[in-house]
Amino acid sequence: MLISRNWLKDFVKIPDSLSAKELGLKLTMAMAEVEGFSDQKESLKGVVVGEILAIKKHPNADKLKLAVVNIGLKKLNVVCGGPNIEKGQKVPVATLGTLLPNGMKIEKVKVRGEESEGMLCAEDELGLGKDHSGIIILDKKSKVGESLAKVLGLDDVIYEIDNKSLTHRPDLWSQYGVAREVGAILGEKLKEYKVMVREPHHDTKLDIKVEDYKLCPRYMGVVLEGIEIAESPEWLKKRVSAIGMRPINNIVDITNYVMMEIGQPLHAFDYDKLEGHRIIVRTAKAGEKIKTLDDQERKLDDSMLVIADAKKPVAIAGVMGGANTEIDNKTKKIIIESANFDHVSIRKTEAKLGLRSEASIRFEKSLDPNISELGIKRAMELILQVCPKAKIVSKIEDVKKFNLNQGPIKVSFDFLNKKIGEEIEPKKVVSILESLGFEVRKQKDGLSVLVPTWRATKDVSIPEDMVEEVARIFGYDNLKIDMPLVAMERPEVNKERELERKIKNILAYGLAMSEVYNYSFNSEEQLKKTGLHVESHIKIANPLSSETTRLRISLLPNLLNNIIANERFFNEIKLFEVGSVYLKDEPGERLSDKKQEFLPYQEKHFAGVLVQKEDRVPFYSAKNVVESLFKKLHFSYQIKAAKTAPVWGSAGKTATIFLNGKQIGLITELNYNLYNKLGIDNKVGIFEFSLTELNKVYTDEMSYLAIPKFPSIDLDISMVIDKNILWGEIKEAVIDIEKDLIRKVTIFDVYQGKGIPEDKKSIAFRIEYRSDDKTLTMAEVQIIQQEVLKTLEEKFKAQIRK
Amino acid sequence: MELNLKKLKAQALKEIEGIKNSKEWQEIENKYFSRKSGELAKLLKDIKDVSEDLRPKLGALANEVKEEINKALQKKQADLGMEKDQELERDFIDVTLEIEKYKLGHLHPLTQVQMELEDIFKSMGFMILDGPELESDYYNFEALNIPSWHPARDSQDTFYIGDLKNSKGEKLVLRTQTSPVQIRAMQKYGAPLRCVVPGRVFRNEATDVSHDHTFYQLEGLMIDKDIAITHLVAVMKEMLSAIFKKEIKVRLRPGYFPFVEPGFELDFGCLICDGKGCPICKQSGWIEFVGSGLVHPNVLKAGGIDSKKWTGFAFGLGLTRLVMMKYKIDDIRLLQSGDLRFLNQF
Repeated sequence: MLISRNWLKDFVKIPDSLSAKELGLKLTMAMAEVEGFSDQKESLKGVVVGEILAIKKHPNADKLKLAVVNIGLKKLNVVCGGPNIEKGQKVPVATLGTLLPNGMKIEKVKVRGEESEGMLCAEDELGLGKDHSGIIILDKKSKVGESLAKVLGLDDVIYEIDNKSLTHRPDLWSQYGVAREVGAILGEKLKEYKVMVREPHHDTKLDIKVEDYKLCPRYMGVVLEGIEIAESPEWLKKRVSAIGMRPINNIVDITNYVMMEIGQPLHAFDYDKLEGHRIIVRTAKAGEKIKTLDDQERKLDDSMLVIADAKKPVAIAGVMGGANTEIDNKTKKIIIESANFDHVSIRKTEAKLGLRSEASIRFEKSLDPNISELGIKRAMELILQVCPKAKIVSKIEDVKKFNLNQGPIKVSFDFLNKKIGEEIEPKKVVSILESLGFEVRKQKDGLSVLVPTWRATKDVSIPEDMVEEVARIFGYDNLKIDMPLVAMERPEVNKERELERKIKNILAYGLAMSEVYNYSFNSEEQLKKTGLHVESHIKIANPLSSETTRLRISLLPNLLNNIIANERFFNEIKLFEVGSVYLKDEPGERLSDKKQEFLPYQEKHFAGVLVQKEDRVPFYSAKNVVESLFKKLHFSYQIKAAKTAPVWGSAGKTATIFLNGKQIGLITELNYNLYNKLGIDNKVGIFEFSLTELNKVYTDEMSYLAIPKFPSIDLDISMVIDKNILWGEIKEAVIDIEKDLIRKVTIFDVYQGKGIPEDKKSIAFRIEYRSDDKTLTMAEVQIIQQEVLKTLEEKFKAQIRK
Repeated sequence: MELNLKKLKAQALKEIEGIKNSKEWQEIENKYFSRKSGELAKLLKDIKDVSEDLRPKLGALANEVKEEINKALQKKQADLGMEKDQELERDFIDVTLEIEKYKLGHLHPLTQVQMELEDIFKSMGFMILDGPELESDYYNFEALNIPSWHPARDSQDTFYIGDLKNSKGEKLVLRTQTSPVQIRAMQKYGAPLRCVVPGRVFRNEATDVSHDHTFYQLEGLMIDKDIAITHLVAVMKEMLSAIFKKEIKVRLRPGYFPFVEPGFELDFGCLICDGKGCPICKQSGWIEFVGSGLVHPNVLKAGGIDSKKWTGFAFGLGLTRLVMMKYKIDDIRLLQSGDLRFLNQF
């Protein structure tokens, strides 16, 4: 949204001493963010009027010319490519050292071997428009050497206000609305918006019918004839182009002018093109189409509001007019529409059509229906001024049914002060509110405030809104800040986050893994490749790309992508991630506090992948990480050889981890078939756990074990057994023999290969015998050891090596 | 006696002369100077037995001898420095060589900054909360005073879930903000309440160096008796000073968020130029950083809190943006690239 300082000055006094920057800052601090401003005088500094004294052909370039230009004190030789220059013309000359608005700096340069001491400028180079077809030719009377800004009367400052910061302020989509704020901020009186229009004649009848007042609370129209479509006068062109609109013709420019000035979008129909000379505001009929002013054919449906004549739609209400009733050079008689449309309906139509216009941007903010009247009268006034033969030939038709909630809002001084945190004098409060157009009546301990119509559509409706009005104009910078005084309280601990932090710290700083953050999305292609069932993954209705079509149920697929990306740079890759997964079929948190409906269950997982060149069984690396982690967390868990592996896992190399009988995760290796499919070179060890489940049973309790008082006796056993017998089972069986004295069973060698039958393996382990009560004798230990050997032979058919 | 002393001196000096390395030096030093068994100690003990008239003379002599032996020993020690050089030669290694035997892993920069922020807020009595990333329309919009027609929905391009709808036919969404947890927290804990919610949010936006469809926010909420604008500013100033570890200047200006009234943008004084204006702050001297405001009565109501009795403030900041500022990261997509060349720097 662009604001012209000169235009503001039509309505409020702005002292010249207030610099462009200072005014911008004041608006930012009290109204809405000013994103930037351009000071026309500043931006055209160094550009002066020059007279072309002579033109020669450039010796080395067909399209270039050499011009001698008089800029008063000096004559300059300038190389120029403009096709339209002629001797005797007055043109804008950017002198050496000038920084043009388009960022170009003018320096003495040689262009194709010919020296150039300046530049003759086209519209776009000066930021005055988009035209680049030729050099601007100035009025013959322009004084040579005079600054261009002065000659063109460009002494304005244009502010750009962030549109997003105005979403809730329909009143600020106009110069007048901003002028009102400037008045309040500077303490200057806002001029009344006066429209002088003669009482219209009544010979032409304009028939307006509104079918649904909710969608169109007000529709005003008036007919004018004797219109001559022509170029707008300079002042009008200058005003509209200053705030970024392209001048088109007098009528269009006037409707734009009024919209920019007061915020009321207007539309002009060619009266003669309107069948039956009627206007019907109705919803579109199924199958109806309209070609809009931008030459696009638009399909309409019955949720869209249109303006129609007796037969067909002639405009999409509040969004864009139709080509079929557009004014053109032959237009003599017009209807000016000044209406108000429902913001919700406008937004829906915009979204459906993918079409937004300056008009619809305003309507979607919920405009005050009262400005329709100001708008239409202002347009009539300007048309009569600009088209001398124009006549008003109908009465101003006004079809309306609306009701604004202007309050009054009751607000106490105590409420205001408590919310602001500082006492503001009642007198000051009243003057601030009045300067913004609120009507204030004093009551006991407070005020009764009548909301002005332009703020009453949905912006201001509760006492809290008064807090904002008073505080922002008072100045947030003027408040003395202080910390809240509240009761001391110990914040409840988020156990899951604490555990997450512990796990992250151990994995990174203990086990040397690197943490990654991956997206929550999977692509269908990626899932298929990994062998995962696509339909088990929640589907995004409007994905950004094929990469964001599904929500993950496992952290693994994206971790595999990380390996692919990193493998060519690193020999060793150890990654982990902690993040949410989204499970379709289980109920999670509630959809709302009222209904018994639930979101899909979402739990936090942590997972890791380990790759190292020449690591033959990375399963063990993964297992090592998991066991170290759990040891550090003081978890005791059960590990089991899994009968089934996930589709991406290796069937023979999968272990599941149980906690209190519940499976909480698994350790595996990447499935043999996937290396080629995914393009991964080295074997991948994998673990994935549910952090949420782990947290349910986690406590950080532990008690230390006493340091041994008596020495231990270590005995080694070496044996050959069936290769499929699990070490875990052997170990358990050994410990079971004499729990109190067998303190530790440690495997130190596993061998398969030469010298051992193919279906066998050789293992060697050490048993530590120790008592807490006395020093064990070898004789005592030997008795148990014999028992152990017997068990091994009987239970596991072990051949003990002697 | 006198003779003995002189003999001892001559012998000692001779032996000292013959010392070849620091080990021998230590032995000789011990031999003469040991308190209990040293030769000098023994002689001095003998002096006690000498008649009283001779004692002063002998004592002086003994001291002289002791001094001279000591001097010779000191000199020898200095000379032995040469041997140190030999040792240096023999044991030399290149101490500047890098080895990679012990390695550390890396926590993601977002994790590091988030932990730091969580600690700051915990120290100020705030709970750290989580909420679902896949949210209902109700919590993400409706309860936050953003009904379906609201223009604020335009600025938050939303990912919708196609096949999961509630009984009203509203689609589930990937939360566009951490604010839905405000409502969940109010419903669960009531007032008074102090909490922050760091978390992942989603926007259906084309990505470039400064936009990603997934990023992190930190949401904060404080509800108590008579919470005012002045409190909000003070807490934010305290928070920012803790984050940047120095006194930070802040300013408040109007901003619009449907779930607060009044709403503010909170800027802090640019740390690069100290408020003078530089390219980082676009010459304004201020960096826009926190969206905030006093909690809208409709939002308190949705959270089941009586807005007549309680008031509060809420704020939100871009955690991802903070990380990018802190480490001067110029491409947001690096954060979720999984590229170890990036991650291993942290």
